[in-house]
Amino acid sequence: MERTENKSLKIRVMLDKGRRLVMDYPIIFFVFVVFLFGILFVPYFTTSYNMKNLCLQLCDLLIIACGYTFIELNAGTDLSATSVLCVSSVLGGWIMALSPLAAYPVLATIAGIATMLLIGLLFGVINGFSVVRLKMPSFIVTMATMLVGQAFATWFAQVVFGKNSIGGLPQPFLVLGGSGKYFLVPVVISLVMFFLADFILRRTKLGRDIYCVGTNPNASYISGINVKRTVFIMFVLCGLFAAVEGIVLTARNMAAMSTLGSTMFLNIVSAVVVGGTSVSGGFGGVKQTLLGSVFIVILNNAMNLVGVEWQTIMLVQGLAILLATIIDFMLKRARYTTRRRLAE
Amino acid sequence: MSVLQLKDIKKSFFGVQVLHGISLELKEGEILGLVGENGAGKSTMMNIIGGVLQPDSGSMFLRGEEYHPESPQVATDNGISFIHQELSLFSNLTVAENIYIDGYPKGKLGMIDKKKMASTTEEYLKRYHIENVSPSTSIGQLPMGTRQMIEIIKALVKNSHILIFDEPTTSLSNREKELLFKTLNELREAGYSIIYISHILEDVLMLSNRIYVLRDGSIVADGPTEEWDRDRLIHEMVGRDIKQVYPTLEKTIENDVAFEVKDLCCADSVKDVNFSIRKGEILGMFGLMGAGRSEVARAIFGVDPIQGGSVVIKGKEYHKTTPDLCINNGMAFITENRREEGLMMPKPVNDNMAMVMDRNLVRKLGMIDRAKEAELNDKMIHAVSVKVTNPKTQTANSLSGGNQQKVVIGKWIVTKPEIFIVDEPTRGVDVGAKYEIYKLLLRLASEGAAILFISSEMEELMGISDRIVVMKDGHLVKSIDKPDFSSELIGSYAI
Amino acid sequence: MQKLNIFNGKVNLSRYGLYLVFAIIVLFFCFTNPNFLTYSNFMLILQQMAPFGVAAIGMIFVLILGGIDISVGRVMFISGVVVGEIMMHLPEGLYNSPWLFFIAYGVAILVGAVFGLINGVLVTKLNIFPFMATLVIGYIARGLGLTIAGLTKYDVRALGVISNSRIFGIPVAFLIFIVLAVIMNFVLRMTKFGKQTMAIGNNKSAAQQIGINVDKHIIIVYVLCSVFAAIGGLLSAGQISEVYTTFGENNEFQIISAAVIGGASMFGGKGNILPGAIIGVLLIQVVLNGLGMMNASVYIYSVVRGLIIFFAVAVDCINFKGELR
Repeated sequence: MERTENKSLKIRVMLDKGRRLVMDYPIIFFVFVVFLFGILFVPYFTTSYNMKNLCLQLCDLLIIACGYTFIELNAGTDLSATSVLCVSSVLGGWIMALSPLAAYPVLATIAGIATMLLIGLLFGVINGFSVVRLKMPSFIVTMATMLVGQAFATWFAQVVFGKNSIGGLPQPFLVLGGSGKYFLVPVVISLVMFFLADFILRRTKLGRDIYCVGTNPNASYISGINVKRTVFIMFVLCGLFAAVEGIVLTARNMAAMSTLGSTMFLNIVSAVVVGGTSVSGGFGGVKQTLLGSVFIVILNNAMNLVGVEWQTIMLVQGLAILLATIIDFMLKRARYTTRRRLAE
Repeated sequence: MSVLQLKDIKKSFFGVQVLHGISLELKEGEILGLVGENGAGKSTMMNIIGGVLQPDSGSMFLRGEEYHPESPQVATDNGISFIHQELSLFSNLTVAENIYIDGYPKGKLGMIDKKKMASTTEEYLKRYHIENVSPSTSIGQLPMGTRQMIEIIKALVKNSHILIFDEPTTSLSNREKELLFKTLNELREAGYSIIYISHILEDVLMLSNRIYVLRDGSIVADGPTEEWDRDRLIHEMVGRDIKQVYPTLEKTIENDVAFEVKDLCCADSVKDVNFSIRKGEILGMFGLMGAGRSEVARAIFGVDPIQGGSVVIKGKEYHKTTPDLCINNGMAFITENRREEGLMMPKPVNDNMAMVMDRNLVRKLGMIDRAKEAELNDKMIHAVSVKVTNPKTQTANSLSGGNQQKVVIGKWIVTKPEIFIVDEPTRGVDVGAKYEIYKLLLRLASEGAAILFISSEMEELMGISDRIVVMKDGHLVKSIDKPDFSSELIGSYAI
Repeated sequence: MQKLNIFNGKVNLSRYGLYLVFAIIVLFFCFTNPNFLTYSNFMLILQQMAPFGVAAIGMIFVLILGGIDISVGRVMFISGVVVGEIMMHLPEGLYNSPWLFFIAYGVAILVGAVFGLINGVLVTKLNIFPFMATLVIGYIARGLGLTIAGLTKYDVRALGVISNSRIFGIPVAFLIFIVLAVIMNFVLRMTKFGKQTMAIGNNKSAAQQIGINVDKHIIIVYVLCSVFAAIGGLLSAGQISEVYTTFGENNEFQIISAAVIGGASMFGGKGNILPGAIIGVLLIQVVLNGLGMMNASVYIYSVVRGLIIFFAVAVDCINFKGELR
């Protein structure tokens, strides 16, 4: 009698663990499926050229998606993340290629990187301030900053460059893009950013606060958490991560572009939402975003190689986000329903 | 003449039986009083009558005919109006628009006949002596008492002959209450049937013709009002000898004042409140709903802004507070609404426990000392005896009310605060867990904590507190010492 | 405790402040360009504002409920694409007859209704935040539209008969807008549906308590919004004569700004069609028109649009007491 009881308890515990894994990382299954699909049915999928491509695309998406994860954890949105890319690109590019500093490559690189990070910070501060102090909804604020930023980048490029993009960036900077033997550099950068984001979320007080505020801001406030500061920092972090992304992409393209990232937004949201971070906040994290990024990158790549047009890819991604949101809703309902389980 | 009959109504939620076979009868031209503790099942029963919920079994009869309301609309169409505690009025619409919200008189082209609306409304306003209000006044500008009257008019205009009132006087002033009672009596004379649910026993005794007592989902007693008195009502409601429910503990109250409130003012709900609590003392705070008790607590802790007066914590005076400030000064606030303000329901117990303590566990680079966190979590779970097998994964949602409340308490006592504000700590908590919570509070006080214990249950206040202050209409009207505790005395100041 | 929604004088002042800013801007344009204050320019403004006005009507209803719909621009796009496709394949006879308009607008209304229905269901039955649901649906609408269209730019000149013509000098499009505005204003002010919309936006739980079918009501309003957007989209397409790849992109901002400037609040319970929709759309269109007269560079438009929506909503949010996200 006892042994069978033990066995059934063990099975229940295992099932419970499995259920929890799926609830926390529902995307794992789909990643496997799409990867398998790629290997079996998609031409050129497994070539080393393609694999390298996939790797780079993953790194690109991961950095900015990790930053966006902070925002999504509070059920907010940051439409201006893509504008950070183009604004930082053109301003950084100007500093490094056209300003008086251009003559000193190392100095220019440092100044350029600093400028670009500052741009990310600026967007983050404006967004954060408007949401926290002016109490505006994030989608309106970031809509506005996106518009203004995009327009500024285009204007700046036309007026200062005379065209949409310029090259001539200093060599030390281009290293960050991963050309030739520096292939691993962006990989390292993206891994660093990933671990940094994960560290913040799982090991620091700020991370704890982010999860609390995203789940129940009232209870968090009464428990002494500084809700306003936490939300503000979330936006700043998103801006900074976007700026790092801008650095890597500009270096990769070897040009400062005013159109940088204009089509990336859907990918970013897809990676975060499909990865499993809840759209209503409080649940998820960058591990999920990593899985989501892998999924989206492989999916895009496979569809491209098969010959699907970009419009249809957009449609498919939209549907994927929709599906993910529906699944998230069902999970949310499961979490919020009272269930007396193993304990009482 | 029997107007409404319930026969053996049963209802359960998530496998828990809430109504165990209710039978009752409502006659024409009478006021039926319904009393019971929190969680006895009053709201569930009324929601079934009002068509909001469906019974699992049993039947209802309206004037002898079978009655199965599938929705509130059906109930309304059958002449039953339910006036909830939270009024169903919309502040952005006018009086007339609210009254006709679910059925406007139609004029030409399907247009709303505004003239007819206005004239009928005017008529009713006059008949029930509601002054300074016209059909086009916006609800947002009216005081609570007047809004209550508008809700009643809403029911009358729809030709409802059965009115159910759920705790109607909690936000009313004395004068407004008098007017309400006068109206109810008039309605009774005119042949209307009223079910009056209230925890203010004096009102029920005064108004009703008959009284039903509900306890733990069953009608345990009923009879004409003449046969009832307060003590007998309480006895039936509570069902046990009161003295046995409350633990006792030897403790000394020191002379040091731990905490003081001076001339505290907050919006319209807290007016010049003064009191102090000494170390080791449990100060009970009683008052009807709307009297300002929770508002005092929220103002003290900085959840609502203090607009006048100050708070003195361990000797230091503050004119503005925030939760952060109070916590740093060794205070804790257990709110009355744990679902919305105390816990993160879908998160595991451990995460909830860690909410306040984490501020003290920050090491280098902002990292949390996870080992210490786990240790403290464990300690707390044992200290408050929360029944949970896996606190790392089990969500707060899956716990019973009593265990949830214990998690909230556990979350706060980790940082060893010396001043506690607890607001309705035993609401929605079963009897066994209630006892444990009382024991906890007494133990904290015996270790030197000063506790402000806010409750709407007079019995538990009298059982646990060393002193009781009574709030009424935002003022603190009386402080009563232990030897003088009596429900008549306390109640007389609160009403 | 019930929340008391007291009319706050402070908010009103800020809104008047916004109007003042607009008045100053308009005066500035009057002085810097002699052609600004002419009759023909005014008529042009009325014509250009009409599509946005129609869309704003629907948006105001959604805002009153406390929701939002940021898919409207893309719904304009896909309904334009579908109509364009159909127009391409219409037989000669039909194409040249007045039936064209019935078919075109009928199809647009249908497309709008479908997307509005999906939005409504996502928001009510799945409890997805309105901005998230409509954001995703917007992408899907755009993706779908682009997939159908491919590289085609639809020639919808024929629709210009309605969109560009004038009766007694007044643009027909504007008249259509006025007619729709009058009708919907009537619905909002004088019907049970309108009053219940205000009620739900003010206190959703009380509305449910009373027995109003809140979910159904919300779905109907989202359908209304998308349908009006689709109609506005066709009006606009007729004016521009073609449906191109970025048609309707970012129109949301203008429409939402117009609704908010006209008095609707992002938090629900407030809003009006007359004169709200007219004032809001008119003010924005006047500014954009003035910029055009000044030959402002293309970038300024985006910047101005961004600033307008930012300040319009900022003013509205001064008294917000809810969650920050």
